[in-house]
Amino acid sequence: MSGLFYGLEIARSALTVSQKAINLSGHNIANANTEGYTRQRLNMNSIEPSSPNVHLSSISKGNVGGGVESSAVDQIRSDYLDRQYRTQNTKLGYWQTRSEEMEYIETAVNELSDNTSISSTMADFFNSLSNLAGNPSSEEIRTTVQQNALKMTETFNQYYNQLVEMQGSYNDAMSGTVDKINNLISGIANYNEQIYAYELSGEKANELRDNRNLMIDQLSELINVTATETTDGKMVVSCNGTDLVNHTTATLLEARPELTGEVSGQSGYYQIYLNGTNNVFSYSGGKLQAYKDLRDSTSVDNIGIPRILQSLNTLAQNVAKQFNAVHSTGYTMPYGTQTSQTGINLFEVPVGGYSDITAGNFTLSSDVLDSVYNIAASSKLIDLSAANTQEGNNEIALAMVTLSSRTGLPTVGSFENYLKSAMVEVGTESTKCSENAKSQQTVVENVEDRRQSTSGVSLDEEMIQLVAYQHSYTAAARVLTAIDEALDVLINRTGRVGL
Amino acid sequence: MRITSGMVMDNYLKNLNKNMTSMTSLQYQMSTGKRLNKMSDDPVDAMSVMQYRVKLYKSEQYKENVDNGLTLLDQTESSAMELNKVLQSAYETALEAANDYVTDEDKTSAAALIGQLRDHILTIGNAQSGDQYIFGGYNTKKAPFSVDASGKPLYNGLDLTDDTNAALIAESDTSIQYEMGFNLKMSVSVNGAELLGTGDDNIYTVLDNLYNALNSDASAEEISGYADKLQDSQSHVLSVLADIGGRENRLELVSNRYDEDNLMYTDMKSKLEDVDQAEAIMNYKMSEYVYNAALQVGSEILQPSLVDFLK
Repeated sequence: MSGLFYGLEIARSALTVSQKAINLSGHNIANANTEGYTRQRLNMNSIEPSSPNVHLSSISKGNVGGGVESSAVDQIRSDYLDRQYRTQNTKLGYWQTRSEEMEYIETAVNELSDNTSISSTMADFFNSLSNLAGNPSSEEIRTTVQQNALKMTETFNQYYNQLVEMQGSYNDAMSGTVDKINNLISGIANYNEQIYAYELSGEKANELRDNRNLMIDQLSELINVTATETTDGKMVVSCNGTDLVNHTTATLLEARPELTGEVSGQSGYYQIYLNGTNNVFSYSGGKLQAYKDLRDSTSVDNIGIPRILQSLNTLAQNVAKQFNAVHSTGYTMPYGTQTSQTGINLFEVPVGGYSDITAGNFTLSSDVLDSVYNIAASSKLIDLSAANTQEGNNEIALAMVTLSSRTGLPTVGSFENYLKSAMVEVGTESTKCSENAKSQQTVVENVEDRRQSTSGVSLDEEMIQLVAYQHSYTAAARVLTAIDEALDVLINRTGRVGL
Repeated sequence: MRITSGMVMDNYLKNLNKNMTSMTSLQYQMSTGKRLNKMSDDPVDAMSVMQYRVKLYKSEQYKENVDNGLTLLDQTESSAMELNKVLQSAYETALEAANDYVTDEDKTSAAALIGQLRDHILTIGNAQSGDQYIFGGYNTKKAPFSVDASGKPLYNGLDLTDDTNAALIAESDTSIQYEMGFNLKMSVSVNGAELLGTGDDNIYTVLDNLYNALNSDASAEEISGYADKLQDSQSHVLSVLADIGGRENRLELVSNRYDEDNLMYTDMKSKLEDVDQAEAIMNYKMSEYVYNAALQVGSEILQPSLVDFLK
């Protein structure tokens, strides 16, 4: 038989649960702005009437339940949205990084500038050759040719050096990213251990899970990961099939400086391995991939620094080759004790030949740097003692002028067109990356909105809950008072007839 | 869909940021005056701008070459006209002297005039433009015409009367060329040997022979023979003058075309590259207005919540 004391139990359970619910609302409100926090709800169950003979006892019809109990504190979170968010976030990390860096690369090779671009210094050089054809023996004009040619080669050098520096910085960024990844992996493994231990007691480790999810979100920006929780509560985080975290086991990454830079030949570039093994780590997305592509890629639909270096190198090599071929058939002007000579190169050719010329070592030949008279404009030997000195002979200069506008050259077509398409390629890629980054940003924002909609704390909602539980607490207290008064009557005033 | 206050604030921030981004890019365009500041602003237009810029550089240089060429040709033309006058004068003198009634004294004074004219031929042949000799072919620094000890005329050190000399033939073929346009080379000088003629009928030798003939009391027929040769030379010089005139005309046409081209390329480059200030300012004001409206709306949605309304 359920008595008054049973009623006390019911009231007590109501008070406890209301208290808990109020505390939980308070907890939600306090964490409304915490990053990664998922709102929590108290799961309440009504308690069944407790007698085991409830169906058999004839006196026990119309039994009342035992009140309310709280079964669990649940997180309202969608796994599906989490998975979606992480996939999209990886792409966002890739495109955003790529787009920001491409914009920076563009400023280094800004061909739209009227003074400091290769195309404008090259145009100045060609024009000064034209002036040379107009007055081949003038020292001032020869000096202009030498200076303009030098400005052009120095612009090549500058572009090259800046790009190689950037390539090195992407290499460093890769190493930094690997450090970040390692921190996150160790952190997730730690949380795995803590959560598993905590949940053995049957409670849900909501705050720990929130922190772990936040870490996995951060990791997804850096590389592509999939996080799955097995039925026995163990979590596995893997990338391209390699388990980075398997329950409490963390497989860290290691960056070994054993590669050489593509095209630039710089040493000390990192290859990523699984720590302690010789297995190369395979990944496909995120910031790490973006840095790697920028550092290594030579393909046309995924432009990286090496591709730009390659184009500049090819252009420098061909300018040197073609101009030297014409220039070395001409005759220099005699000066001092030096007589007019032929076979002089305009641009320096390194020991290994034209294929060793890079935009970084591209420069004028030492002969032309020594004296402007070593620029060959004439097709015949210049002899100052002869009756016709050939000082007005400008045929080689004219041939060089024609060369500057020629199309159909091997490998490059025409110098200006080759440069133009190589550089505009960079601009087009930059536009593409920023468009992709923008649209990917919108996608991620959308998924995050839906996540927030599911899991975020709404202050208005919590306020309403607070009011509701406050009322139920007050009402439960009233129930207690009612039962207390009944008990008081029962205990203190029953059986006192005649007293 | 359930909306939380966190979502409201996040979205508000993001949109505010978008407004700011478009405002800053418009500001940047207005302050640089250029719509294209880097290639990714519009890659296709950037390519066209680069092309126009190269064309502008080239056509400015070509125009300069054309102007320099015209200067040289001008000088050549006036020298050739002077030569023509000299020949005219010599011809008239020769005609007068080719008469039987002319006295020996008259012939001697005619000879003196012819001698002066003959020497003047050399001066014309050694004409300069600036510090360059214009009739010497590639010999621009030394006077091309001179006379050797035996009185023979030399062109660039070679005997002008020896028209079988291969070196002389090669010399008389050379003239200075300038690049006037894409794949367009033009000759801007006249070769002195070609102008005066090589062999025994070159102008100097004819005049020299006439001088000697007049001094040695030659027959009227001989003198008139020289007069005919002078006439031939004169028509040759006139045809050279016509050629120079034709070249000058052509160069002037080309020069005018380059002027128009320069204007056109500058215009087209500017259309693509420069920002229309009026339009840019309007766009900026618009985005500033949107930004201000967003700020105001924000202040109204961010503040109130249920907490304000519960007692």
